[in-house]
Amino acid sequence: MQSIEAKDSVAGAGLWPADVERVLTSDGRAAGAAPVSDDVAVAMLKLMVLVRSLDERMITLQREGRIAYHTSGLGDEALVVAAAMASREKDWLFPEARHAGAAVVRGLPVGAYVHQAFGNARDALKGHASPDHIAAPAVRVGSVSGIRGNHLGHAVGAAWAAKIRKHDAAAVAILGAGGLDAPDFHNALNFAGVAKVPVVFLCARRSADVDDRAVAYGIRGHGCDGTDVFAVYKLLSEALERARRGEGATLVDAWTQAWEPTPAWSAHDPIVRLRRYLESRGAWSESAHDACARDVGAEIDRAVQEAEKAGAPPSETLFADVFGTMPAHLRAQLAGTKLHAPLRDKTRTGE
Amino acid sequence: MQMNMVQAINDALRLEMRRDDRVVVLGEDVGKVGGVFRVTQGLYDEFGEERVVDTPLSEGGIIGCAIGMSLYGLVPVPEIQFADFIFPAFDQIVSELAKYRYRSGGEYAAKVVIRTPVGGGIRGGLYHSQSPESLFIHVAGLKVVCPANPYDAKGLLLASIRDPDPVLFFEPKRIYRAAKGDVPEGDFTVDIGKANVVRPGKDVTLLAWGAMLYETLLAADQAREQGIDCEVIDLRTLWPVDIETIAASVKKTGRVVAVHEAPKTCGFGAELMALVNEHAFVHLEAPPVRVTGFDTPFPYTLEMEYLPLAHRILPAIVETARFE
Repeated sequence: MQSIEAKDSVAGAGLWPADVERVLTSDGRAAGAAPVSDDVAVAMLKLMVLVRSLDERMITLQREGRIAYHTSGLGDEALVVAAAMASREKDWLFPEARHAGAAVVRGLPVGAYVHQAFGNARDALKGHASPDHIAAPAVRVGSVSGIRGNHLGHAVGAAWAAKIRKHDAAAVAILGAGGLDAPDFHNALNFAGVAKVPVVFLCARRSADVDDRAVAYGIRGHGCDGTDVFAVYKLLSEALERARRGEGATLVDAWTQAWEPTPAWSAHDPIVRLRRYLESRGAWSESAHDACARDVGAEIDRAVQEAEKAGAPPSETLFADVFGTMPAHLRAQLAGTKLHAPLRDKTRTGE
Repeated sequence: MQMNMVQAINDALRLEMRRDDRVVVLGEDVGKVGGVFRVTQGLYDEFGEERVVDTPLSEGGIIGCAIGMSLYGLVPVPEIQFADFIFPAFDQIVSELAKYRYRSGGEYAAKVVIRTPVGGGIRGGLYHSQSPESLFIHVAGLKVVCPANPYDAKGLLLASIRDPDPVLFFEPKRIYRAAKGDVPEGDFTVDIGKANVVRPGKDVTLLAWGAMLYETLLAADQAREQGIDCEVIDLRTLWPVDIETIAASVKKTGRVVAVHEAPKTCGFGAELMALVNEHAFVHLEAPPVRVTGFDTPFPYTLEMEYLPLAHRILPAIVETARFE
């Protein structure tokens, strides 16, 4: 892998540390061996396009007032796709809201993600949680927390459980830079280091306020160009291999550049970078990219149409899933609402 | 077999860890030391360091990891060494554990039983004596249990571990060894959500739990000498509370006193008073009364003046009984 210098124009304007690892140069050449075949790389590209397109659509829907909120991860597509693809089916994934697209990459249907954003009657989460706060046990993606950093401990616990059961499984937690400041960052990395837990922490970094936090916790620390999906994938794969071999946890700093609506930002765009690589190898083309964008757009269109048709979940769902079985006091509260329903419906406006 | 509460809880843990290899105990000093109250004694030798885990000193880390373990499929029974130390874990308990099932629409259930000693009277001062139950009862999604005798301790702990929901299992430390009784050696459970009428009576209903149950019984004895026949109810489960048993009793007696160590304001007694009013107001012959810890932090030297002992419970019983 090639080391790049801080003064490299794509090195985060001098905000990144001096030695982050990279496979693809900014013009899409591989400086070292690609970690995956062209076929897999094409799949990565398509998935990054999907994650980006979903993110952009959710931003639009929020601006239009059709969903209440969206937490965007624009620019972090390489992390999201690499984490979901470097981890195997039996590994657990714990993203935060901005990286909820990782569940879609893992296999959560686009429709399910969009229903959840609308919190509608077809939302598997019954409209209980804000957009992007998905939960997907079928693909082993943990419930997204509304509290920064709390999911890190859950990733440690899941990985620890795998270790206790002697299963060949690990966990990946993805966090934004804010997660580094969260109280549970300390707890999670401390426990992971002390108990030698097979967990990998993948952090989207922007500026090198502190270079190496991993050393404090006795875990491995590596940095890579987070706009280079090959580099992120390679570091994650190596970290997961180490974890499964019983060599403990890793903190991977993936250096990215916060998205800006400027042409200059494309130098940091993970999609542009991988696309250049694949086109130079004849594995992709402009027409292929256009087709991909069209297909993804159409899939999202369909999902949004379906979601808007579905309407709100029934009133009773407000009381569902507090406990495994609804206890008497909640049954009483639910029964009470039925008395209010006619009055509520009469006085409700604008709905 | 005669056991005290420590032995009964130890017995429950051992039984369940043998029965179900998904059960894992974790906490500070629970393994090699066997717990600072010896509640987990012997488990490390029998089940090993992977199932009886000595964790770093961080309650937030303990509960965060326990949640992750439960998602993976283990049945974690973490210990918080003293309930006074539970607050660093409050975020994980309230923001995560309590809400995990709800916010995932039932797709997930985070199932953890948090064991922790509560209560004063052991000269523990500010940070080894608190009873924080109302803080957790107030949070939707948590069950809160507090046994007062070894039989209930074993049966309720087994029920709690097998219950699909998160449970806070409060162990009244003052009576860890003082409360003794006959406990079956095999497998049995006590239903969560069912109070126990320890002593039937017709004049005044007394509601209590934990170590104060015994002070309440003592006060009831003294009240009987004054011709007042008290019905003493050990709540056992604080949430979901057995309002049916409470309401039936209050409808019978018309008078009720609730006793708890925790401070008065917004203590669980306040909720009990509200529930009694909602369910049995027309049957009341006297205002419902609470005898509680004061609205102060838990004191060191004067703890026996702070605690709602029999000498404070008795006047409340008499006043309630005589109210016209």
